[in-house]
Amino acid sequence: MSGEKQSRRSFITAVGAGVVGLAVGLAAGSQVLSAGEKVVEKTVTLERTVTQQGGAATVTRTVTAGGTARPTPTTPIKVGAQYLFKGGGAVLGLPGAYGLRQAIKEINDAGGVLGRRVELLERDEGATDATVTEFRKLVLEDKIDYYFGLISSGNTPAVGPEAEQNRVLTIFTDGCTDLLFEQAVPNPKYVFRITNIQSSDAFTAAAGGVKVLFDTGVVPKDAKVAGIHPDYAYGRLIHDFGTTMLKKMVPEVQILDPQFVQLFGVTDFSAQITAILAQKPDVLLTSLWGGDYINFYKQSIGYGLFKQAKFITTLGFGGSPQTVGKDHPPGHIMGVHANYWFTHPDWTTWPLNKTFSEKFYQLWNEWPSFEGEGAYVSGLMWKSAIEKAAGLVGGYPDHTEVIPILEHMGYYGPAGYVWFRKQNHQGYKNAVTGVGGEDPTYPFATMTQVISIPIEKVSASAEYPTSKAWLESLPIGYRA
Amino acid sequence: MIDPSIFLLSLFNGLLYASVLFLLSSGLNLIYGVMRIINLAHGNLFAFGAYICVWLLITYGLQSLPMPAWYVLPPLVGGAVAAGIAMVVEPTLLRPVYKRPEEFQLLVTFGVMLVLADLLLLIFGGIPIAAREPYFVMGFIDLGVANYPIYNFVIIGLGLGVAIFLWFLTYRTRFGTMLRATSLDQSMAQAMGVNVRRLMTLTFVLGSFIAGMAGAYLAIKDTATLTLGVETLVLAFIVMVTGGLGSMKGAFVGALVVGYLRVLVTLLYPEAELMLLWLVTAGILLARPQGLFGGR
Repeated sequence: MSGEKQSRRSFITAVGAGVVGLAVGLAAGSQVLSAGEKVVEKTVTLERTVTQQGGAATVTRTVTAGGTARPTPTTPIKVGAQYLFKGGGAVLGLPGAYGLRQAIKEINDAGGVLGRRVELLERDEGATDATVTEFRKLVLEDKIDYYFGLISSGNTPAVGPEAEQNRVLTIFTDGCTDLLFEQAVPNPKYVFRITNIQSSDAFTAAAGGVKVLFDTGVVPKDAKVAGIHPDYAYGRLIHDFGTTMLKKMVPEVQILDPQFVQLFGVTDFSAQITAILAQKPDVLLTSLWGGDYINFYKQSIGYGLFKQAKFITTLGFGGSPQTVGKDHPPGHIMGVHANYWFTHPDWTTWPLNKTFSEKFYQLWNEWPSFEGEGAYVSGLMWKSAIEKAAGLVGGYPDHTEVIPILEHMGYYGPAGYVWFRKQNHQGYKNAVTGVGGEDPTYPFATMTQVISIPIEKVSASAEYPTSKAWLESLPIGYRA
Repeated sequence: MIDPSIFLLSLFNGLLYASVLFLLSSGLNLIYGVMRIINLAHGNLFAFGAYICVWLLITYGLQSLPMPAWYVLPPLVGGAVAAGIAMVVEPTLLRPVYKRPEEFQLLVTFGVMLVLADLLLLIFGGIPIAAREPYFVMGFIDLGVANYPIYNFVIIGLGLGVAIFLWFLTYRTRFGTMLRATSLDQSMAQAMGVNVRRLMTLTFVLGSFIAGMAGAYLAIKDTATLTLGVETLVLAFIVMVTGGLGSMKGAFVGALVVGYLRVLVTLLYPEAELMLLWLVTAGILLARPQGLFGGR
């Protein structure tokens, strides 16, 4: 009997304790929920070790149990970036870095990516070996999660395969050689590139020249075309593709022997300018950029080269806009790598461009170049892709889940619509070049006529194995 | 048949490039000749002069200085800043390693080169800066198919002026006699009453002043950029080695040879221009390992 009583007392005590415990638990639970937090299911990872037949190899398979959401890590996302920060290349590199910093600032100010703060680790871009070494350090020592940047097309074909090998989701913001996705990384998985491809750059410059100079009679159809280019992948490709397209569009043109100079290795261009003057050209096609173009145009004015020939440049306006002064003669084709000039699209019809440009000016005391816009958009596209992937997988996505989103992604940025082509991970947007001149609003030379060309007209479609094959397939007399 | 205007242009260009090369190498050569130190920081002293001059011109000079002063004051200040840096570097960093093997001196001057490069980056930022007005205001000579910028004659004149000044200083002054004596035998010169320590400082300061001033004048024609130091150093070494280490006459003749060869090759076969400097250097060193006018 006493046993029964004791048992009943114990039972009542146990029930009481249970009720109190439940009440405390509920109270605690309601406090957590009231703080606005969700109950997050924990990812269950099952590891199973299977010994293969013969015992020669042991394979560990990791299986993620389906149906459960993955929590967002609490650590910051580490983003590595490399740009040319000094010397003649900084004219393009710094604005690129500014654009990426601006995007990351906006992302962090808005709460990060899925709540994760973004930490930017910037390193110098330099000669190819040094650039690859810094990239490896970013990956192996700093353990970056994502990678952006690069200006030189001598560097992207070297870093691209490294990024693929190390499985680092990478968005190159320039370094636009066609060779990257034709030869160095022919089947990209992790590597993307936002700015227009170099064949489009060469084609756009040629098309702008034909429209403004040849078709209007400013230069004769049988004009003599000289050239001066930096002596590396970019300069060689622009000479090859640019003259190919000029010949296609105006078969009568005479292509003269070009000059190739060491990139940022020449400050005195007097010998080259004299050699060009000796050729008596009507047109000069040039892909000199950054500090090289600044020196070259200044000395060309001194030697009267602008009186002799009309310039078609691919990157005359490619750097920070203030670096080309009002002393630059008007009426020449001033390229922006076929990407973006900050007054286009018109600010009244495309306010996004106005907002971006003014914010860029506020932050960096200069107007954005195509590098700045490209890097900025790549940052915002990347964030958007992660968020979309998260929505689809119901948790924090890994690279392999972000990649398919980027592969099918289109985005409205300050320059207009930009999208990645799934087949080659290359970004495409309408190509831009223009005519240089003076606008009293700005203390530097600016575009007085913007030429915007649908990108489909100046870039190879997906079925062509190479851009060169596409260019060569175009009919004589083609117009973009 | 070459157009007479192009021929004239090429003639001037050869002189211009020779003058540039001589200006780059003369200070370095002077320092090596007397002190037996290869100053790897020379290029960045040149760049310092370039930056100071361009910065002064675009910040103050163009508005507040009368036009003729653009061509005198900022370049002299550029040279003076380089000389000021030298005045600090020589007694504090170089003097302690004079008696050490050459590797120490190379390491010290290499360190100074890196510090100066970072100082330039810190002060002026990464983007090249340019002052255009002084180059354009002087105008051009009309040669028919082309112009020739009058400012280029300033550079040619400066190169000749520095050459004459250094020749006069070395061979026609008491200071020059002391320089030559110290260059030949430091201990003997000291025994004869030469204040070698002071002479070393003065030589280093003078060589650096020439570098800074040359950088300043050339930056008016080109731009001031952070990589200028390294590019300059390479060119200066080529001329120095070609002409003979420590030989002013060698630097002068070497600069003329390289300057005119470059113009000729660029005109006739531009693809070879890049390798020209190295070919000439290799050829001369194979035939005369001590350089054109170097002592054995």
